[in-house]
Parts: sequence; C-alpha cells; structure tokens
Amino acid sequence: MSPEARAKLATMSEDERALLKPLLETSRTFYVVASFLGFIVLWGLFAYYLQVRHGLGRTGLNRPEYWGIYIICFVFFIGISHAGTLISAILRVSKAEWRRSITRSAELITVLVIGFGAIQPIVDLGRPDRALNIIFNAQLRSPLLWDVISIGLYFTACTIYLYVPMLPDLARIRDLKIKAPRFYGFLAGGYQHTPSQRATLERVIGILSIVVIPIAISVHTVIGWIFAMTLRPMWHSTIFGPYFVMGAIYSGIAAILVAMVILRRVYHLQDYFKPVHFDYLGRLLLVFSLLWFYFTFAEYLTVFYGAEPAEMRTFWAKVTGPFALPFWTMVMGCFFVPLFLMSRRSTRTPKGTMIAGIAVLIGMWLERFNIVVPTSVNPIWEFESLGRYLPSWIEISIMSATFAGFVLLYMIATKFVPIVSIWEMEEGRKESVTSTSERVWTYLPQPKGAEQILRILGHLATVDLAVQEQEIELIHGFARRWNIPAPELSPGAVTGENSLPKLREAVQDYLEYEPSPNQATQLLEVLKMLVRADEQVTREEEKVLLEITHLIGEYLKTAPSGAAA
Amino acid sequence: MPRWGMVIDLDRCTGCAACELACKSENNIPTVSPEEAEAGRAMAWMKVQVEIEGEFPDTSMNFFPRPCMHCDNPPCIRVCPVVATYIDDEGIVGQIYPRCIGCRYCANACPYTVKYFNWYGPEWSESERRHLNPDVSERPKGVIEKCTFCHHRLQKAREDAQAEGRDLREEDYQPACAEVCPTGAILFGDLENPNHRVAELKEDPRATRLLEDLGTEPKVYYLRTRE
Repeated sequence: MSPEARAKLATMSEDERALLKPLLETSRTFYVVASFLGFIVLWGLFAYYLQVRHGLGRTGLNRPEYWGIYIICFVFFIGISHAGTLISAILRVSKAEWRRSITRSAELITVLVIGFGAIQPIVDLGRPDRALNIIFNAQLRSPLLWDVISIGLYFTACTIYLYVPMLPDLARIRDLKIKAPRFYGFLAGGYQHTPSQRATLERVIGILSIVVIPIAISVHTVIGWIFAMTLRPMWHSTIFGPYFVMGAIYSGIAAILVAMVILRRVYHLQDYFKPVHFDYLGRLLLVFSLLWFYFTFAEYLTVFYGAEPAEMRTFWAKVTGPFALPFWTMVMGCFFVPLFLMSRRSTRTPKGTMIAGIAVLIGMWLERFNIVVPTSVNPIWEFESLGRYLPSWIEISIMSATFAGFVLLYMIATKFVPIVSIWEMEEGRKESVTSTSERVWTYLPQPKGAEQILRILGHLATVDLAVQEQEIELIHGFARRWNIPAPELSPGAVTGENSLPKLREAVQDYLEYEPSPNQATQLLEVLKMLVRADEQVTREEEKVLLEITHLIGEYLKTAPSGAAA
Repeated sequence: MPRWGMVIDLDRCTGCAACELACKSENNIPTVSPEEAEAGRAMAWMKVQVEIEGEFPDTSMNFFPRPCMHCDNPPCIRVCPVVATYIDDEGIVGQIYPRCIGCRYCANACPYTVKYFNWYGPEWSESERRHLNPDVSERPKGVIEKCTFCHHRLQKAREDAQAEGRDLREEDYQPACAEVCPTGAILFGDLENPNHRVAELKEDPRATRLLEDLGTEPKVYYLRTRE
C-alpha cells in the first residue's frame, strides 16, 4: 500500500476503511494461492488442448455414456449461480434488511459462475469450432436452444444486476482516487450520487430485482427440461423443472455460506458477516434440505411404484447397484448433515454453516452425477450392452481448472470491488432503522380513534391562528405511524376562525370510542407536547388545554367499568 | 411418395453378421482398436445383437440385427439445436455431418441407441484406404453419424431409372445389409407400395416393432421367431 493511500485510508469512515482495505493491501498468501490456482487453470487449458486436438476419445465418455463430467459441472455451476442473484433479489424484494452486507458477494458468485457454467457444454462439444451454428442454424424446438437463450438472458441480467448497485461504490473509489483512477473513472461513468441519480438507481435496482427472478427460475427449469424432454428412464419426469430450480437455490445458498465464511476470515469482515447472517441463511438452508428431501422422495417413490422395467433398472442401479455409494453420499450431504447441523442453534454458527455448506455442495454435485450417469449407462433398449464410465484425467483436469478458475477470478474481483456494498451499509445505518420501524408500525392494528386524535391535533395546531412547522412535523409523524392520511396543514397558514368549538367536538367524539384511562391520559400528554412544540405557549393555547384537561378529567371520573382498573 | 422401410425375419437370421460387415465397408465406418471397442467406442450402424436364453447347456441364442429404426416420429430430430439431423419426405432419417456440433443430445434422446459419435478422427490403414466407398463422405472427428438406409444408393438408383426412362423397381434400391444377407432375412422396400414384399410382410401376424409403446413409429419391422 502506498503511503498516500494509507494516509487517505486513515481519514475515511469506518465502513470505508474496513471494506476498501482489501483493494489496497494484498497479502503474500493471496499471491501464493492465486499462483497455485493459476497453475491448475493452465494445466486444465493444456488438457483441453489435448482433447480438441485428438477428439473426445481422450475423455472417459463412450456409447451409451454420452454425457459425463462436463454436463454434470454445467448443471452444478449454473445451479450455484442461483446463489446470488435469486437470493439477493428475493431478499431485496421482501425488504429483508439483513441482506445489505451479503448481496454483493452473492451477486459476484453468480456472474462468475454462469460464465464457468456456460463454457462447460462448449468444452463438451465434439466440434467447438462450430458452436456458432447454434445461432446460424438455430432450431427453436430443441431444449438445448432454450437453454442458450435463457442462459444468455440470465448472464446479461445478472451482470447488469451486479453492476448497477455497484455504481455508487465505484464512484466513491473514483472520487477518493485511491486506485487506478482511469479504470474506476470508466466504470463509474458520470455517477455522482446526486439525489436524482440515487432515485433512478434505486428504481432500476427495484425493477431489475423483480425481472431477474423469473429469468433465474427459467434457467434451471430449462436445464431440467433438457433431460426431461428425452424418453430416458428417470429423466423423463415432470418434476424435473421445479426439482432443478429448488436444487439450484439450495446449492446457491450453500455456496454463499462457504464464500462468506472464507471472506470473513481472510478480510476480517466479522463486523459485516455477523452470527445473525449465518443464523438466518442457516435456517434457509434447513428449509431447503427439507424441500430437497421432499422432492427427491416424491421422485423416487413415483418411479418405484410405477415399476416400469427400464425405470427400475436405473432405480436399482442407484439405490443398491453400482451407484449406491454416490447415491447415499448424496443423501447424507444433501439431507442428513445439513438437517442435523442447521436444526440446532448451537451449530448455526459460521463454522457449522461452513461444514453444512460444503456437505451440500458435494451432495448437489453428486446429485447431478446421479442424474446424468446412471440413466446414461442404462439404455432403454434392453439388449443394448450396459455402459461404464470412468472419467479420464483430461476430464478431471478440466473440471479442477474450472473450479480453480472460478475461485481465482473471485479472489481477483475482491481486489477491485468492495465485497460488501459500502453505500448500502451506510444507507442501512442512516435510513433503514427509521424506515423499518415505520414499516413495522404499518403491520400493527391502528389504535381506536386514531383518526380522531389526528383531527384533535389538527385543530389544536390552528388554535393560535398560525400553524408552526414543528407542529406539522409532529402530526405527520403520528399519521405515518398509524398509516392514515395526515390533515392538510401548511406552515404559517392563518385559519382566521376560532376552532375552539370544533376542537371540543372532536375530543368528545374521541371519548365516545371509550378509550382506556391510560390512553386518554396519554392523549393529554401528546396535546401538551404539541402545544409546547413551537416553544412558546400562547394564551389561547393555554385556555384550550385547560378546557380539554377538564373534558378528559370528567371522562376519567365516569370511566367505563372495564377501563376503571 | 415412397416410405422406405425394412422387415427383418428373425427366424431366418443366423447371426452371421454379414450385414454388419457389408454396412461397415459400404459406409466407410472406421474400425477401432480392441481397447477402444472395449471402452464402448466401436461403431456399427447395423449391429447384430445377441440374446442368450437359458442356463448352460440348455441355452438358445436369439439374434437381432439392429439398424436405425428410421422412426416416423423420431425423438432425435426434435432435440437437435442446429437441425443437423432430419427426416426427409420419404421417411429416411439422416445426419448432416458438416453442420453437427457434436453435442450428442440426439444420441441421448434415441431410445434405440443407434447414434454413433466420432470420438476420434477416422483412421484407415493403407489397404483400407484404397477401398473406401467414394459415394459416402468420411465423417470428421466430433460428429454424430448413423444408418442412412444407404440413401446414396437411392440417389444413384433414381438417376439410373430416370436415364432409362422407367419407374424405380424394388431391386434397384437395396441397402448393403439387405443386399448381402445370405438367408434373405433382411428385406427392404417401399412400405406403401403393394408390389414390394415389405408392404405385405409388415401386416404379417408375426410383425412387431421395437419399443412400440414409445410412439416413435419405427419403419423397421421384425418378424418374431415361430416357437
């Protein structure tokens, strides 16, 4: 870190200091890990070169095992991509305040992992040089083409959805001039965080977070359909669309959790990824482990009861046959481990969620293995010989390289963008406490006679003929709290008429609701507060107050029996 | 418009595999090494499948010569993202090798597992190279290939018939497997033409088709063995 940058860092706010530090300071461990991952990526590229040069014969694929590791990884990676965008969009739409610190890291996972997922089918192609035929000779009735369309759309939407909420932070880095000014100048464009830009930004985020949800759901539905649209045993299933979407969100949550635990550790973000985040996401993981069990059970039970011979061959191959090990490991990883760890508060800690997250990730990878391979090696036509599948070192290398490449790009990205959204944290501190408590008020039933109280306040404010700004503010506060329209008042307005009779009438109306003595006394307190709001008590006001005190005093004496206590 | 189809009489099949060999040599299908064949990379557009019934020594063998079924409702053509596999007006399901991207989706969609993938580029020994059929294109590595009912022979037969100013006869167009079958178990012709043997035989009480319940409408009929 340069001395100027260090000096600048010292002058920043606490959020900025903690979250911009990784952009300016890089540890030796980072370089060691990055070069190790870089080496794996290069190794994978070499393996891919061999595969392209000699043909897919270099893989372990064969007839009838046409699809293997690459397609498994494709489904797995695109599944992980539901981490970010879908979760962060749902949390944003549902106004979950605790999302603020986790959305950025989750959205970043999404964008990178879609890229690594989308290259898998291309790696799997026999003729990658003809990949563009998908555009030039597109056949719309092929589910593979639906997939190309929905993934393309998803990648575009997610990239925008990552970029737009990042603008204020990019502009901040540009203005602080702490790193690569041209780069951030370009990225941040003309964004200045002016109120009108802010309003536009929030409107765009609001629209995007809704648009992105159906797109995300379509993506994994269509991936499920690629399998379901064939006649193969245990692929041809109507549940596959929703089953895949559920599994995708599940593995996505697991990926967020693992990423959060690592980020929290290496960048010391304990103040941003708090136990409450792991607790809440852990609960979500628990819900999805139960959902996973429900879907899987429904799927396998249906196959078992239908008992079609071709289906049963695949079924037994998974449950007791050659695929029993991956099958039962999947059940452990996707169901028992997360269920056990996430159903207890004491293990919904960063450590516990990390273990559960890793178990789910392994389990979900195996789930895709258990979908792709056992069906492939069991052809429908029973005289066809059974297939076998053992991935070659080429496939393992390319798979490792895509995992390494993803982690590497993610690491590098954390050096260029704050991994926790600074402006959203600040906004959270500034605004969300009040806005959230106001929102909570709207959930609650209104007190009886709330409108009457507002009328009383309105009349009282006009008693001294001139309405003061402080008085209006107070009345509007109550109106917001009870979620009812506030009476129209403008500061300095002179009503010119004596509102005393109206006021008396309003108080009497209110007392007809039979408020408890407590509430009636409180009203008196509020009225006194209003009278003193403009810091001078006029004679009129004093007179009115006396009058109302008398009215309420009379009411309290003859208070209804229920309220007497 | 003819609808080309095949009838295979299982009672006549001796399992000699002449059809398999004739197909390989007619269609330039590369031979793979024993190790590759063991790994599931062998190619045979026409494949004689063997079913062994009973316990030794009371065993009997059944043979199923299995070409592409040339379904009227082929599951493979629906899933291809680039229209590299198609069904033509006469019911022949073909593959466009220069367009295929090698995604193998069609191979997975085929319930009869008749689509073959070129895991490597074709390799020929010098002696084989001299005997390649010039009427059939070599397939590059990384594409799907399949039985075509030898449709290059149809083109030729049609041109000959036209040149001689006559209609196409049944014997003018026979795929290599049907032509070579020593017991006459494989018959080929127009399923709609009453003058062709297959048109009658497909109505035979012994006639059946593979996995008929899938609704793929195969145009290859099998005559079951008489008990």
